[in-house]
Amino acid sequence: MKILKRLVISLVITMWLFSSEIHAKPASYEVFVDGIACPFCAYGIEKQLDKLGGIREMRTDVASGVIRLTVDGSVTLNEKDVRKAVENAGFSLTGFIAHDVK
Amino acid sequence: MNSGSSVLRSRASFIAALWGCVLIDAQAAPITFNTALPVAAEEFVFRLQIKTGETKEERGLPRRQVKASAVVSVLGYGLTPDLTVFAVLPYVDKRLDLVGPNRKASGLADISLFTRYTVYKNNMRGKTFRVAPFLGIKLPTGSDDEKDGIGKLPVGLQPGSGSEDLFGGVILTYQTLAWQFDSEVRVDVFNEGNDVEKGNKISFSVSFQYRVWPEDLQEEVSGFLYLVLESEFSHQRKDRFSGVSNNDSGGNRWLIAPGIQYVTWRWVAELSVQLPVNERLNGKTLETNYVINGGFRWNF
Repeated sequence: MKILKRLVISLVITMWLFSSEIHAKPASYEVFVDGIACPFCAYGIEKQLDKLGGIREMRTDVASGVIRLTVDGSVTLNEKDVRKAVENAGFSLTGFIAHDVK
Repeated sequence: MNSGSSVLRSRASFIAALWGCVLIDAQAAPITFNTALPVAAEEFVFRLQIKTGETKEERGLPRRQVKASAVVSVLGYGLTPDLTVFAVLPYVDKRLDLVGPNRKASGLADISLFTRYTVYKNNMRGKTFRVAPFLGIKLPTGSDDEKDGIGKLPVGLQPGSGSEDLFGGVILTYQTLAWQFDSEVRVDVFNEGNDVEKGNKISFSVSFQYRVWPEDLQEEVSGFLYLVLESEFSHQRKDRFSGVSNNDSGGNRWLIAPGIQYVTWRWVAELSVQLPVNERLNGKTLETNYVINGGFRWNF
């Protein structure tokens, strides 16, 4: 009986966690970068941002220097880490906007 | 110094000039020399270049012409966003056409290691301006003792030089979304190997790359197509053989290289042809006919 009780509780917690994960709204960010002037260089920035983890989708607009990120709902990016990633690629962060972040 | 050894020694000068632009890094544009564009920290860039060239053929007796090809591998690694290290390893194939049996050799040439550091950068929206000095060493890892049926091959035909040589300079890069300009000043200091000391060399190179496609930039872009025009001016002092100056070596060369380059997110493909504009070479040094450079670069 005790074992069954524990099993039910574990199952409920697991289902709640899973439910939170799949129903969590993904957050999106806009990252403004100076210095990008060709696709080959932009790829270097994308690799550095990808190392932050949780990136679902990344689209770089080379013409405007804006990188649009969509991340998992459980992930929150902060400007400091994003700035570090952009600088590691050899470029400069000039703006950081978070959308739909709880 | 007899005419036979003079001919062979002028070959060495041409081959030295041909390989003067072997030392290239792995980043995007230019095609025949370095750029100051960054390699991201803890990331690699790889470049593979195929070069083939020949001297102008001198008809009559003695007929002489040099043909040479190389496959050059370059690996760059970003230690930091500003400091990058490179290793360059060529595989060469050289041929000397003379009256009588032709002579040839192939194999791994000397490896070069160099570092590049960005001392100044100004990132702007859609543009970047950078200044980066570089410093390197060429190590005598290539074979310098190749033989054929006649005997030991002349120094200029050997895959390796037998000498440790130093090189360095500074690169300036200004890149915009529409075009890019690179320039490089470079000095090569050659030491003695196998009783041969090539003349020290200074060169000044510029490259202009203009984007011709796409005409208008949309948010989704697969790649850029550039037309490229490069120019190299070099001055090289005379070689010395066993301490004696070789009058059939050294001089001034001015080469131009029209080319084309396609740049995507992960790779770059490029092709150019170096042609002589003006060569004022000492003595019987053979002049350049052409050098074709083709290559790929990968971000990984």
